Amino acid sequence: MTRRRRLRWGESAVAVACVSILIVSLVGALAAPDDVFPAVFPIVAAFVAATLASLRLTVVIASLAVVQFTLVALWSDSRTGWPLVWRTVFVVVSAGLAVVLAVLRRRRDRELVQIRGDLQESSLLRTLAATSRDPIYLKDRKGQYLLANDATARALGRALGEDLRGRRDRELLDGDVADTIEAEDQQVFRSGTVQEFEDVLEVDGEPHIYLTHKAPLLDDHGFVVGLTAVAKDITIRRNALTRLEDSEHRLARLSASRQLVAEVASRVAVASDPERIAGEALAVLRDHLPRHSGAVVLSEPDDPSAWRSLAFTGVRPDLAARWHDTIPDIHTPSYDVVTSGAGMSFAGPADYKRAYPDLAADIDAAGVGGPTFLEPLAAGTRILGVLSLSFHEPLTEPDASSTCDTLRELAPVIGHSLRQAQFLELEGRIARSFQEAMLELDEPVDSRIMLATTYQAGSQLLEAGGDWYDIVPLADGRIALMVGDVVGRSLRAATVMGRLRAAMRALVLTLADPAQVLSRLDDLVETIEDASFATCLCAFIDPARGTLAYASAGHPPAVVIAPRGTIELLEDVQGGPLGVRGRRPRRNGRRDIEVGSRLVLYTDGLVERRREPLDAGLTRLVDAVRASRHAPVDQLPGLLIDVLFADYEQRDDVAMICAEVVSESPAHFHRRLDADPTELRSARRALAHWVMPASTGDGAAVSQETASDVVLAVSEALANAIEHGGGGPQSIDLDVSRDGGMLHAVVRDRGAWRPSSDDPVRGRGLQIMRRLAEDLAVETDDDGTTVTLTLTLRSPS
Amino acid sequence: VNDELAYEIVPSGDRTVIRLRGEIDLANSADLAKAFDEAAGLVPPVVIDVSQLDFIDSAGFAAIHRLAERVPTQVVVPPAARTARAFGVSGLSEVVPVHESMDDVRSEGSTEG
Repeated sequence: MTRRRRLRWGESAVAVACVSILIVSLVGALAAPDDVFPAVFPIVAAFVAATLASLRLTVVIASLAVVQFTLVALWSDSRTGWPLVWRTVFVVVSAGLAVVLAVLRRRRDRELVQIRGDLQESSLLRTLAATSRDPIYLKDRKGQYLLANDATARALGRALGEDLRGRRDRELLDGDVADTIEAEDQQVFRSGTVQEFEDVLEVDGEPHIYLTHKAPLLDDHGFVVGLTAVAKDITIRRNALTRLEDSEHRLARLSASRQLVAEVASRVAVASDPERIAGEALAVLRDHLPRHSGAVVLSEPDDPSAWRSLAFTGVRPDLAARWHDTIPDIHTPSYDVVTSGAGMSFAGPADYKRAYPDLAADIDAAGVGGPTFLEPLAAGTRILGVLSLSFHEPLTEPDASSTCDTLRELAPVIGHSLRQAQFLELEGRIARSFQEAMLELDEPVDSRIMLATTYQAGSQLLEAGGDWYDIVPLADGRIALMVGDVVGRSLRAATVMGRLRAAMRALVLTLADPAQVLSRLDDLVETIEDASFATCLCAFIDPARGTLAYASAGHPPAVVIAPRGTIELLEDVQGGPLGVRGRRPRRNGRRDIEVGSRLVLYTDGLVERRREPLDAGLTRLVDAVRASRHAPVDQLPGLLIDVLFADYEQRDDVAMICAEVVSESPAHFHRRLDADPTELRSARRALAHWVMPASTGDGAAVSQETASDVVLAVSEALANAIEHGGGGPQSIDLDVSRDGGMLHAVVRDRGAWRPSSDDPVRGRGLQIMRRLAEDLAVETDDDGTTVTLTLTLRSPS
Repeated sequence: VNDELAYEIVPSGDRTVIRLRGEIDLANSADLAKAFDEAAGLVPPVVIDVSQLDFIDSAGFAAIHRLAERVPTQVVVPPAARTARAFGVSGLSEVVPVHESMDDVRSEGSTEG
């Protein structure tokens, strides 16, 4: 049965009882109208209701009692002797009292319920606090604990919350911690607002972090009388968070480090020499790391105390100069890193200086203010050198350790690139000496043609290899000139060049003309690996007939300059590179080539420049050939290289042949000159060449002295003709012929001069000629003056 | 463009030595005369060292002769010089002292040219 139903049943019982009392008292009053008591009974009923029943029932019963009493009183009409008025007053007052009683009772009941509820609630709270794992407590303004749960006690190193009552923090905790907490409490008292604090307390020897909400405790008047606090142990959460942040930072650093290593790797991959590699790597570090001085040092393989610095960053020029090469008798960390193979680091300049006192002044001068890291640059087991970085400012511990890790990853990348570069450099050197050895050529001695060759290595060692030239005298008196250039570079290109050159040498000896040589080469390159796409130019000079035949396989055109200075690029028979068959067969180009003409054959390194059309290079070459046309041909290759690379670095190798047709035959030398003193030198050179060699024909070798005599005597005769011969271009003819042991030189000009001994210069010239020559004759006719010299040729003794 | 003549003037306490290289002919004898003018203004005698010279003709001899007419001049022509024979046939030694080495210049001292 529920309480509510019980109440209803109780109410009903009281109502029945009260109504019964009213009925009984009514019957009693009617039966004994004189008796007072029955008449008073209804009041009793009202009081009963007031005590036992609800207010509503009490009011109903009281009202009924008053009505009943009043009716009975009117009916009995003062038979009892009580005046009606008093009776009425009595009954109304009584009924009122009964209602008041009921009201009071109801209020008390309600208060009781309230109190019971309150009691219940507070016990719930207490249970809540007691069972909470989080410290909950109250303090008064003096800082004494009013109330604290066991969790609070445990946080403060006690067992029960009761133990804290009346104590202060300073009695329970270390001074510093207690001071901190009390200061926080004061802050809450002063501000009167809720505040949040984070405190670290040592619990069971472990630090615990508590996040505490403290709220002011106010009395009825709003004064702060204490505080309530709820704390939360956030140790685990905080630690997890810290770990998470740490790992996030680590991850970020790791990824930054990876990026840096990747960037260095990609930049050193395109650099080919050690200096560039070191420079690129240091540039990346300079851009990504805090201010520092960096160096890449290469140590000598067999002497770790000897080194060479490849690159610096953030180093003063004077220090860089001092540290460029080995400093004798100094103990360096690089030496220790190279010999031990292990990296080193110093937390700051003081540590660094303590370990290497020799370097103290340099460490200060370099502005080192932070850590220094040194890592060996290793390629496999070989240690090539050292990467060192000295920071100018201190680094945080995580930054320092991640920098160290980065450098440790970076060092092998740089090391391998350096090793690779060293190999390439070595290969380039081998290729170059191979090349030079193969091109060493005993230039054929032929009195009819002057030849000069050069192989000039470019600055780019790795571009070496592949350029060649060759000169082959043919049985029929012609001379074959060849230049070529193999695709590719270094040792590979040099070996291909060797095979191609040998093949071509064999072909020119057996075939009739350059076009045939090239078309046979087209077949041959298919059997020589990597020889396809090589370019070459082949020219046959026939001095006796004064003709030139040539053919080109994709090669830059040869330059021909005639004695009168007209220049031509031989571009008319440009075929494709070797092995590339065009629609038409290889063709020969042909030119007449008179005595005094020059021919320049070269490889593209001479004319090609980056970002410039080839035509510009060809124009430059033509101008240079024209400008140096009076220079002796043996100086021409060097002169052309000087002129063409005066304002541009020669990067690629250049192979070149310069040829000048001196005479048609070994027996006869002819040359036509301008009346220009600058013609003298090359004329002398040509004559000396013609006189000197043991010619292919009937001439015998001539002594050096005899050659000098001939050249001096003829030069004097030519000088006379230039000065007095009437001038003009191509106005002087020189004809020299051998006749057994004699040599006849005839210089003919357009002037009408006579030899004069009065002229101090010409007089001496005449005297020289007379002394050198067996015979001297000067004839003047209408056409001009002819000087004839006869000299005796003497063989070398 | 005849840039073949190179010379070096070395003044010392008691003479001025001029060393010639390359080739001397009609084309550059004017340059040689300029070099001689420069040397002539210094301490006499002028000693012309031709041991490194490759060629000289009458234009060069004339320039030496003209110099010798102005200031005391001597010429050193080692027997192995490439121009020794040219000097021999030039007749220059008739007007200018010609020695075989610098030591001879010292031992003979300054001779009137």
